[in-house]
Amino acid sequence: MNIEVDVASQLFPNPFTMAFTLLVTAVLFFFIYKFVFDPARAMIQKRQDLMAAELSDAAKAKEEASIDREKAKEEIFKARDMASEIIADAKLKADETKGEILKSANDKADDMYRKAKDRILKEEKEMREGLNDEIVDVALEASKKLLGDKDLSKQDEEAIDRFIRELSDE
Amino acid sequence: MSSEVANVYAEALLSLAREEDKILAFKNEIKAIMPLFDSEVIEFLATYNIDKSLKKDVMKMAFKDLSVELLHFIYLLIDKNRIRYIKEIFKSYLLMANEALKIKVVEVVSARPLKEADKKRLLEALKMKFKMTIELEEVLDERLISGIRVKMDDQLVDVSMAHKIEDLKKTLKESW
Repeated sequence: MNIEVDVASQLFPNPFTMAFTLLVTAVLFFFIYKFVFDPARAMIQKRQDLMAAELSDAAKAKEEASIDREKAKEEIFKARDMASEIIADAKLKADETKGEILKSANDKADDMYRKAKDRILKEEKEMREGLNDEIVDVALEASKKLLGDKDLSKQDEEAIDRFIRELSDE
Repeated sequence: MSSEVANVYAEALLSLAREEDKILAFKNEIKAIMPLFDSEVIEFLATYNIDKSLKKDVMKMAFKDLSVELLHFIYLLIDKNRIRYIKEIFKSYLLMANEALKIKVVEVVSARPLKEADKKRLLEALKMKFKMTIELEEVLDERLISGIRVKMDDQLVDVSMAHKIEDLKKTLKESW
């Protein structure tokens, strides 16, 4: 059986088929490109952007954290300095107050001592004067009693004379 | 307040006395009856519950020889409920009357009653000094021991033994 086949014609592509195949391939490629590659690429880009943003945020946060840590350190130093100042002031004030209290207590003690001394001297003086007054009072009361027992009409007359003299001298 | 009331009534009485020419007579009568108005009598006369006519009858019986004007003056004080101020009124009147009559009242305090001769000497000296009629008001106070204490207006002259002793006492106490 002889099969006559035009091998030569079979060896060369059919231009129509080839064109059709190329067209179909191009269409297929177009669709694949349009509906698979683009979204995949966009997704990858988006993912890259997200990762970049997250990395940037992380770096920023790290930087901020670093700044905050520095600030915190500064605050701690400041607080420590302030605490030292407060303690120093408090100590100074406590020393001053202590000095004042001691001075006041000393002054009061001195004052009390002086007053007590004055009182003792005053009482001593009063006692001495009182004794003197007592002597004078007793002596003069005795003289009154002696005078009271006498007839003093003469003294009355003399007193009237003295009064009249004083009256005319005025 | 009481001195204002007393002055008003005393002035009224003095005005009446002037009209009647009885300043001295009223003065003498007042001096005589004033000691009788002690706190009990005044309390009786000032009590609201006792009838005023009864109070007036008591006054009329007590002061039979008193001049009608003075008796009516007391009645007036009873009617006006001013009898409580009678002593102040009489005192004010005596001061005003002395002023009107140009009489100077001199209080002489002594340990014993003054002799007439001494009184006379005192009166003459005072008359000579003040050129006024002098009225001596004698007060006895044994504490003076001897001598006299004379009070004229606001002036006080003390020539008593008690005063001398007090002076001596003061000097001794100060110099001791």
